[in-house]
Amino acid sequence: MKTKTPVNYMGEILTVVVLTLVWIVYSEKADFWTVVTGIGFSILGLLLTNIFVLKQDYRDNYHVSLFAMLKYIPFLFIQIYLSGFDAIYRVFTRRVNVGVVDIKTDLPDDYLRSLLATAITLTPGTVTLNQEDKDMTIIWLNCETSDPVEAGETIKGSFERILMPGKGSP
Amino acid sequence: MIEIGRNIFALIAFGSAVIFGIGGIIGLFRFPDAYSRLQAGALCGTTAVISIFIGSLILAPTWAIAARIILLLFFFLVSSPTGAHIVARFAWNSDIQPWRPADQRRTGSDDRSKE
Repeated sequence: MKTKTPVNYMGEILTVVVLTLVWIVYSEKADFWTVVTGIGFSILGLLLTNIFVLKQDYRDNYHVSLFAMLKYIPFLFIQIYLSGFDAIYRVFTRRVNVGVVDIKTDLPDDYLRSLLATAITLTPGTVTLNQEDKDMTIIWLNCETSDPVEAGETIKGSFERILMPGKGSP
Repeated sequence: MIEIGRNIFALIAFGSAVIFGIGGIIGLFRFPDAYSRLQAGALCGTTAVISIFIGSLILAPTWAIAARIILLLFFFLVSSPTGAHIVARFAWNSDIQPWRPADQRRTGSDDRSKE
């Protein structure tokens, strides 16, 4: 498969570094041979993934930046706790209004959409039921509205803005 | 002093894990339908487990153990919503209707008959 963009191996190098670090953590050693075998298996894993798993050049398909992830993960933890307390409040007061809403996302690729679906499911109060292309079906513990735009903004607004390529602010 | 601070933060994390865990179990019995029970069970459980991981991270004696806890946390963040999603999707595909109060009629996208 030919790439349209100039070949840049930075992504591959970063992946090998991360995989090698995981290898070192699980090996409980950081000596020369552990690092060498870690790098070897990381390159092998990366090659096999590129050959057998990824059908196209993933650089053209996955638009996620490290900077966006650094913002996404702390924000995700804060949201998990905030909505966790809200869920606890609803458990004790039994104030639930369960509803299913259809929302639309503007995220351009499947990887970002699955990250968004994961974030929606991880935050207590909402679970992703289904996702087809840009349409998502969400079960909402405190269904305030069935309007797709309004519900979408409440459920996914901040996450989507962080994940959106070229933006990265809530 | 640092040791006391670590213990206090770990205690807060474990304490919140207990609160979320108990809340999830109570929600499992108090909520009216499969979807809301799933929310209580799976998602309060998620917050409880994350709190336990954070508490363990604070108390981790070495960087190697801390790094392993972070990896476990990462895998948990990937697997937990997948499990919740599979159960919810199965319920949805089995035509289980979300619970609504008796005085509210089902409207909009809740009405599966439109599909």
